[in-house]
Amino acid sequence: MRHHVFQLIRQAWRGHRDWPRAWRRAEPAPRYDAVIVGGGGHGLACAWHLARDHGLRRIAVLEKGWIGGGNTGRNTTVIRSNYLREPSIRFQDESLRLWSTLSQDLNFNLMVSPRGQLEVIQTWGKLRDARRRLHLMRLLGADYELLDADEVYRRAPMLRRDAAMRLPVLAGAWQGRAGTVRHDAVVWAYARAASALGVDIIEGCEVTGIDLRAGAVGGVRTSRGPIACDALALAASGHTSHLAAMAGLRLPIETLNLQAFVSEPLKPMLDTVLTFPALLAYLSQSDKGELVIGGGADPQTSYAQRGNHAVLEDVAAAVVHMIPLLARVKLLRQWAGAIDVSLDTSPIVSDTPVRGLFVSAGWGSGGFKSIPVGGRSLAHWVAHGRADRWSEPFRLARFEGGRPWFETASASNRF
Amino acid sequence: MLLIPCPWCGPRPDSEFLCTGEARAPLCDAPWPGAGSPSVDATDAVTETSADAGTEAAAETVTGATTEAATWADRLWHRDNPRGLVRERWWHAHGCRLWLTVERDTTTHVIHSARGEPA
Repeated sequence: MRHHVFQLIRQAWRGHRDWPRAWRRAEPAPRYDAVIVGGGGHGLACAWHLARDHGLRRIAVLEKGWIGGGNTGRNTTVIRSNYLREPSIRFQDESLRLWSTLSQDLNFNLMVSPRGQLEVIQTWGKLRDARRRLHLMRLLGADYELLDADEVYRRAPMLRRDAAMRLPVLAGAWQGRAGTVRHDAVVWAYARAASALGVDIIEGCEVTGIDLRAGAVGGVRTSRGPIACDALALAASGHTSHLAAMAGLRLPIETLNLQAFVSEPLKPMLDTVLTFPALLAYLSQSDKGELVIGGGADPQTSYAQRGNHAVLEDVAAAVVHMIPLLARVKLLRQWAGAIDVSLDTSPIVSDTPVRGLFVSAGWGSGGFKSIPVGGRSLAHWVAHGRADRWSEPFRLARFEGGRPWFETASASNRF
Repeated sequence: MLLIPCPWCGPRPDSEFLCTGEARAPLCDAPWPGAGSPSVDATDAVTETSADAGTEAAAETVTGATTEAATWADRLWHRDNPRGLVRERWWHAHGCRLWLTVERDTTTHVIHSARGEPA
């Protein structure tokens, strides 16, 4: 059923009793052409592209919990392309282009809000980093500009401004096309679109083993029985190492907790994404009025999906220091996701030494914004056995060949 | 906050330490690429390998690089990243400044042991 305003009116007239399920709750079949492990944004986007663009018929998405229950449901919803390394800028900028029409493409309101991102620059090192990114972004045709301190305060008047500040505002950096997207809607939109094209979405199905036949993928063993497949794509973020080990692989990733917090609802006070790179804290305001706050990753590896108190304190202190009027605002919720950070902090969208096994991982704190292109590129790998031009730099082979893409403009690292 | 049971100082908050990640084989005794056979630069060649042997023992890897390069890459870049018990190296930076090997569960954060021993 297509979403449109007349449907809304018709359903309202009927008391909203007749809305159909958004996606089929499928039973696992014994065999598929392609199995995708991980029912988050990347996995579901990959499934949709495989069905729509590559004509694969039998596709399954296996999710051990509920779809979108992992990092896609736990992030701070920011999309942007102001990265340091050229392949990441190209990749994320293409992602912004896809985000801008994705609600129409998926016939689902994703609440894409291009409210921009304002980086508050407080150290000379971060200013040099911003200048370098500015030049590269401009060369690649992406939008990015540097602002002076007065302009920063004009756009964010609630920021602290006093002579005794330890780190005074030196400058700002602005990307207008950056913004936020409703994260849960992304999961539901891709799931609905993929399911409508025949993709089986199977929840409550945990992969417990990978069967290999002569160095190639044969299938998976799951908590709901064995499933044979020709191609297997891992899109399980923090659990990728755990899954890859079932195929005898070790990967250059570590799983860390990345926390997020939400405040009580406030009257509209912030109309952009405000970032403090030197303090490792950032925030935006949702349509419900809640401040959505994030920071750097917790330092030790963890699958617990709950953060430690030290990071919560540091982020809260940074936010309260820079926006003093928030000092008495209450935090309502705190949680964390298990992010897989690659050792060069750049993503891995790649084949592996096991034929038919593909991996989309190492997204770190940038997984959500990457969903449209990440899913499309992973589908390209599965369908064609080679990278498309967006993901070619992100092959696993770069580590062995001594060509990592070290990234600085990510919340995962503490450079 | 994690309390790290330092064998010399007793239980101390993790903010006194620097965790350098899981205990790994030292790099210095891995064969230098090119010491034996020529080391091939990373290419797009996809070569069949036996998944049972793993990347270390395979003569050719997905990149076409040699065994020495593969061993170096494995020692330098690859991690177990276990969901469960991990053996980690911690350095008591703001305490006794000695190194520990800590056994910690990455799902519960429970620390099972902390020994002052080489990796």
